[in-house]
Amino acid sequence: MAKSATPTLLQGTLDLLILHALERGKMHGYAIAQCIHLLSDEALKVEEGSLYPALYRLELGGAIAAKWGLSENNRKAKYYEITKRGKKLMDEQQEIWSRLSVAVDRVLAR
Amino acid sequence: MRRLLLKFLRRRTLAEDLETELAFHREMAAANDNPIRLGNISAIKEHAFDQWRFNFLENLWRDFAYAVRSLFRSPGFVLSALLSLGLGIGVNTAMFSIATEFLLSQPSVADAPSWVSIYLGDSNHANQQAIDFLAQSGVFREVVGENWESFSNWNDGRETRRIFSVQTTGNYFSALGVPVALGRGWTSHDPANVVVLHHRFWKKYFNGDPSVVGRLIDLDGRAYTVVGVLPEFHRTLIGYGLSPDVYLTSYLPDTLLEIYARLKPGMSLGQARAALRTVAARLDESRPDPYKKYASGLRVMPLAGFARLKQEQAATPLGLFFAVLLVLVSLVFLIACVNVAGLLLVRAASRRQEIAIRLSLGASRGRLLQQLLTESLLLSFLGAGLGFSLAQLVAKLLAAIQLPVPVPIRLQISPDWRVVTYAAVLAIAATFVVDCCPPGNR
Repeated sequence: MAKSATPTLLQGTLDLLILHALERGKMHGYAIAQCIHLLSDEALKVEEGSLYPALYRLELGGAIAAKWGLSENNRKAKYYEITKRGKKLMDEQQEIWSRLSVAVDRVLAR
Repeated sequence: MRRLLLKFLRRRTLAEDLETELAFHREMAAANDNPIRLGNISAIKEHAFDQWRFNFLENLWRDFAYAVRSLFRSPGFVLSALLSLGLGIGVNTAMFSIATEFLLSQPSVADAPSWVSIYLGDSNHANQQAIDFLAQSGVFREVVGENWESFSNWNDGRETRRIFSVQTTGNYFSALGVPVALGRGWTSHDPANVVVLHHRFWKKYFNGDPSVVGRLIDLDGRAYTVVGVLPEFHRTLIGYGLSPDVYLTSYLPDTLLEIYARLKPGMSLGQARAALRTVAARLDESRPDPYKKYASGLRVMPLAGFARLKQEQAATPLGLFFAVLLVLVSLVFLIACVNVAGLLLVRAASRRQEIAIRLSLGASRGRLLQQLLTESLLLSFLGAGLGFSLAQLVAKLLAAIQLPVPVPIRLQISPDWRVVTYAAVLAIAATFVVDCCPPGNR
């Protein structure tokens, strides 16, 4: 396999990114992927193969809620919204992530 | 709880929803000139759904249905595998049911755990006087006696046969609550010349004629009235498959009887032993026996199950004997499993294609393994079913062999939960042995 220039997501960080994206308001799956893509300055690319399983998992866990609605181009689309439980989960995950990244930086700085 | 409810509510629309969602996603991507990474759509769906399904059960059901179909496709393989497993499990289960029946049988009485065997003066035999004394002491709820070492001469009008009889005290049936199939057991109000027949004896010599109750039979030259017939699965107090032909309540005054007593509710063996000591000391005072001292060598032993076996002197050699037999039949079982594993290996070669297709469709190794395990499990349980029926037959045949001993021994082999559990455990063991032993590694 050729080495890819775009970094792959660490296991577990996708949930955090999705929740973070949804904090800006409800959006559909494609918008979530785009949002993450743009916010990372096009460094991260979320593929549908990992996005949808993650969305379904989060919905089942009660971190996000889904509702059908109409998209900007008048198409039927499923909109996701963060829930209270999701916000709590996000705070926890963010805490874990910042600890991890600080720790990794520290190791790499020496 | 919430999850479960959601799972239920969304089951139907799940596939459709995801389909629409994915289509929308691709449409948006195309409209925005985003290259779509060609993913495996069915794999994405599977992954997304996995969260939402009652995975384990649904997969199990599908695997099961698939296993049934795939086994139907190769009847030759199934037949030889079943034969092998059935034999392995059958012989094993047969031996197990004989061992449990022999070692752990419960006597046919109303409340077996409350009954104990009593030793006075280092012996579990005493005369009628001593038994009456024990009964009157009020320490126990009931006290009964029975004498096994007796034979009667039965004259059926044409010839005289020596039959094996047990002589018991008059309260035997009422105190023990021994179930009777036909007629009744005797009570203390009955005269001494009554007899209760064993089911086997009744079948053999009276052709199972129910009108036998009330008839007179000639035992030792005296007329006895038949009052009842024992059920087919009657188990004696002594156990070990011993089965007499008739029960009598008449005996010579100085006959020694084995003593059995029923503990009062809540009385422990230790308390019973302490109380017995006092009673035995009084017995020594009021009715001294010139040949023995009652208050020595006292024992109170449980009558049923493991508790009895633990205190039995013969338990170790008997247990070892059956352990060795079980090890032997377990080897037969292992050979059967290896045999089936070999058959599976041959089958695996022809299934390579199927497995390759499944893998390329995105099935995980775990799922494939689960599928194969389900197949072997089904096979094993079918084998266990066959083996179980075979075991009943084999055990009955084995139990019917008359041992060259003076007393008739007939084990009452009947399938009970222990034997069923054992066969089921064997089936599960077979599954893992077959799937994990080297030739089974596919």
